[in-house]
Amino acid sequence: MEGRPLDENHESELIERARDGDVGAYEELVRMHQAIVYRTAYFVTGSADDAEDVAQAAFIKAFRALGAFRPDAPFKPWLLTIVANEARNTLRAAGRRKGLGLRLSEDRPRVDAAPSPEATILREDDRGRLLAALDELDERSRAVVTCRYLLELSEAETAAVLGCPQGTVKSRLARALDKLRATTALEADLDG
Amino acid sequence: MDNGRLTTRIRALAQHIDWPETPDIASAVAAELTLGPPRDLPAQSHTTGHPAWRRVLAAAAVSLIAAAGVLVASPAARHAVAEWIGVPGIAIRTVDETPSIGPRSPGRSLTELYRLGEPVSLSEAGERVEFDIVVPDGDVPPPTAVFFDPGVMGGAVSFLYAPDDLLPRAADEDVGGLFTQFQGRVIPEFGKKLVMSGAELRAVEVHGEPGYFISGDPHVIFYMGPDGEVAEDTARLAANTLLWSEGGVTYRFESALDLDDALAFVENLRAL
Repeated sequence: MEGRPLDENHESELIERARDGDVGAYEELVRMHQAIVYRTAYFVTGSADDAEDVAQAAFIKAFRALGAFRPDAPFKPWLLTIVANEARNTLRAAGRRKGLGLRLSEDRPRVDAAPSPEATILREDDRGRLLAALDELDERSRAVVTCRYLLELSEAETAAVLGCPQGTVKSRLARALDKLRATTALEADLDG
Repeated sequence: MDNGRLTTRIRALAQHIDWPETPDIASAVAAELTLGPPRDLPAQSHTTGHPAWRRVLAAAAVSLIAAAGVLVASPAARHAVAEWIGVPGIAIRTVDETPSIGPRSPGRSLTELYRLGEPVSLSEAGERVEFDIVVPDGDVPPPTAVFFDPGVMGGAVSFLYAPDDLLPRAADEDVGGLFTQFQGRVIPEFGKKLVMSGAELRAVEVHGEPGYFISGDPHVIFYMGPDGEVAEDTARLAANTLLWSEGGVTYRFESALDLDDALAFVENLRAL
């Protein structure tokens, strides 16, 4: 993710200033969250242009709704709820449906993340198979796995994006993983 | 493969997803909050809400906000630029051409055309806004009509003056002057924009406060309504415009008067 590491106190201060109409403070807050918001919008809409529009519109709406935000509540799930609603509205208006729509990068390190030990445990050939297996899941399963593991959202944030209770996230995720595990090819290729 | 191993592998996969590069949304959002959405500019022929246009706007807004001091909208600067001029609630944008505003069609009221809000009495206007209204005094006659715009946070009040000896006819034959006041802190919600082409913007001082006088070629002021939408037919042809801010309230006086006479008109302001 880009921007400085999220610091809750600093974030609270920025929110407070933004509530008072400080656009500069809000700009900094947007910069902190713009990558995850953009990716979430891209995940829902499947279009980079739509994702940019959705992200901008969502941040504008969030700014105007800051008065209704409870200062003691976590900001990111609240923001992602607005983003997901905006993205779904855009998708509805466009009248199209999409699959996972994600691609694998060339074999190069991601510039916005520290190298992860996990990154080394998945062989290049296996990445394509795993992504294909994810893509073959039903929409709900695909969505919950993408939010939790590809977008790296918490359960609460995933619930906000999917518009369901946190408990539903848990149960959907368990079922989705069962389905993935049951994919014979995946089992053979990755577990062998 | 147990769930733990599977989720580890999916997390590993996440490191290799080719997400589109995140654009500079923060700058675009800040520009939009400051200047209002670009789709509200009827003078632009670009597709409404086009992402590329938003990016252009953001870049232009940021660069010009940083480069304060460009005061004349010269033809050479006729690419889409926006300038934050330091008077709260007002931003200026130069465009290739301003839309022509034809004569008011018969039956269209001034309030309808100029989107002034509801006609109210002076005292009612004073009760409904969240700031202290001032009224031009001295030789200035009382306003012909008073309007309250509830669509502006904190309220906006406009005084309409019919043409007379003091105020020659402005753009509309029924209008000699328009004096509007609103709280400048409402910028993000209100976002009044002023579009001009070839007009001259002069830095002036009003009551010791920095302000601007816009004159020269015709220029147009667009008002964003409470619904956030602006249409061409709601634009009003402004005459010369004097802008300034005092005590958190932004004032705008539009008339056919030159700078000296405009300054004289607002020289004595009394609180309601």
